Amino acid sequence: MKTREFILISALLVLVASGLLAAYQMHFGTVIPIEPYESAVGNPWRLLVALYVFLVLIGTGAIASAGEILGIKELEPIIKEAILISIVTISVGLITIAVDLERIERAGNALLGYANPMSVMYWMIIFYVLELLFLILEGWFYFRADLLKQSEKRGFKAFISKLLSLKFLGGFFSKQNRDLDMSFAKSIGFLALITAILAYSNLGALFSASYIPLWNDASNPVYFVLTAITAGSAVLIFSTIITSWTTGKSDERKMKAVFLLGKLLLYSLFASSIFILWRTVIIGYPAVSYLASYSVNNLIFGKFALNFWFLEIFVGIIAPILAIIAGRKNLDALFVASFLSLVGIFAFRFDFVYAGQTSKQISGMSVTPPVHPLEAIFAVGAISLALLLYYILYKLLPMEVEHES
Amino acid sequence: MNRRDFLKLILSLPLASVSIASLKSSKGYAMIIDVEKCIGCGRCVIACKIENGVPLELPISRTWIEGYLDGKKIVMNTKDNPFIKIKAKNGFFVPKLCNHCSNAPCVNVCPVSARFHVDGIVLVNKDVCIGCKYCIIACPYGATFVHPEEKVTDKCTFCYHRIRRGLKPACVLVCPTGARKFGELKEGSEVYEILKSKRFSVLKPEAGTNPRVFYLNLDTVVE
Repeated sequence: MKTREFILISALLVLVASGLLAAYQMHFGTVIPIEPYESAVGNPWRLLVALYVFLVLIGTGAIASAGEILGIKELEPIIKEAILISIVTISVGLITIAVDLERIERAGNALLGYANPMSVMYWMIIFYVLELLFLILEGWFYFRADLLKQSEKRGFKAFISKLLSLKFLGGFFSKQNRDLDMSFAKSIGFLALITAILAYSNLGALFSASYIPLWNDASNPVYFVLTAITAGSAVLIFSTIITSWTTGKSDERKMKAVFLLGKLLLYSLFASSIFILWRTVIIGYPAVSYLASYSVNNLIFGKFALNFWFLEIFVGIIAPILAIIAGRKNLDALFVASFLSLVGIFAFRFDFVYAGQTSKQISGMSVTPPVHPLEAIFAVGAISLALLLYYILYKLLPMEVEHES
Repeated sequence: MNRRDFLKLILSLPLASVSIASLKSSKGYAMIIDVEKCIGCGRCVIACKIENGVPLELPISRTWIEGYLDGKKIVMNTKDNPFIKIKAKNGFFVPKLCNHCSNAPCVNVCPVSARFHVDGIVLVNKDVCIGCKYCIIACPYGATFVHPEEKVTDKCTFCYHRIRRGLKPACVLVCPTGARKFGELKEGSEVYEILKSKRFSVLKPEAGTNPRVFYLNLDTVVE
């Protein structure tokens, strides 16, 4: 292991461990005797909910599946990355929301025995669990041929490949098997895409189905799908470029895919800006309702104004659009654009969750507590966990796309 | 009855009759709060907290009092009464609690069916609640909260453990002015007769939740 890698992994492990300690302290700690973020002293949904929305709405898996189903050849070289990122982000997202539960040990109640099909949240859990399962299956079929090939070598990677490919059950590498696997992957990818769209839009509906004026908007499901595409393409661009820089390997086909994703990012950013404009005008239009206007005013003139105008609009939309347009076919510009739009999307999730609740009439109860340090530490830990898992999977799995040639 | 009273009665009839008609179909318990009778003493808040094991010193409560004093809203939800320190010229008090909605958003959104109706009362199954807090988000009245010790959501149950044994809810029992009335919504009962004969209102009727907490003499739209 190189020194640089060792430092990176150690740093990530330390951050993940800190996150674990923070989660433990939030639930069982003695330092804070009362939940720092329970409803009476603040917003019931806070940073971890915003982070959950950010993580599960990274729609790389949907992009991969759509690319596969629609036969977009340019996207093929990054399908493996896309599936892996989706599996990792959804898994860490589900861990994040589980930590946000007051009774984490009862998380299984939502799936077994006590289901409420009337609840939007119940369906959200079902759709995300299904999407994760379909993505794992799709990934397995997509990777299996290369895993079998890798298992023929020696070493730890070969051992892992043997295990993951279930080679001990009698699998072997052949072109026919690979073609069959690919057709399975494509079919399951279709199911993954459908559940992904259902999950993303359902998450939008979860916020819509409330009396909170900023959230009570029928366009949320569509908007969430749109921002998932923005986030998905940004993450894919970011990770592909950074992996190429760190490994020193530059695959021309992967870079072609990155440029195609750049276009997708650009179009989705344009669409987002139109959405934001209309949402803000319609919800905040003075004639709609006092609370609706109040919630939007809070966002555009009030305490969330800096986040909204600077992080969401300038950093998240205007700067990436300018970077992509100005830096045509320039990887550095695309890299910057993808990073900035990710920052903007996170700011959007944060503002959406927090600002929405400022108008909620929890009588006599404050709704403006800042982010608690424990939440922040856990959030950093969760993001580090996602990076670490992706790094480990990327290292262990056969990510090269040689079979395409 | 003079002409003014007669006109008042005529004008209030359509509203009251519509509401009474809808009440007939919604059996179960209900509470009436007479805002004019509430003096903001806060005994209901303290009694409720003691009866239901909600920490006295924390700003969370199954029932709380909002004082609208000289146009400013002040809340009592701990054992300390903030109203006695304020010298206001005008004002009134609005006790609040879970509205036990017939169309309860908290029941609809709970992913684990931890909230349900019994005799018109919305109850919480604390052995099942996962603490996702969606009910807190969904409730238009801000009447539900996370119990800091039990780590599940908590709210008013109309003291179901008491009324099952024929007792009154704690808040009703201790109210010195009789501002709170409680009983079954059936013909002949005290609450039914009051609702039949007087103008009443509910909080946030636009939410379409069909509350079971009714207010008398509440002219101002309170938040």
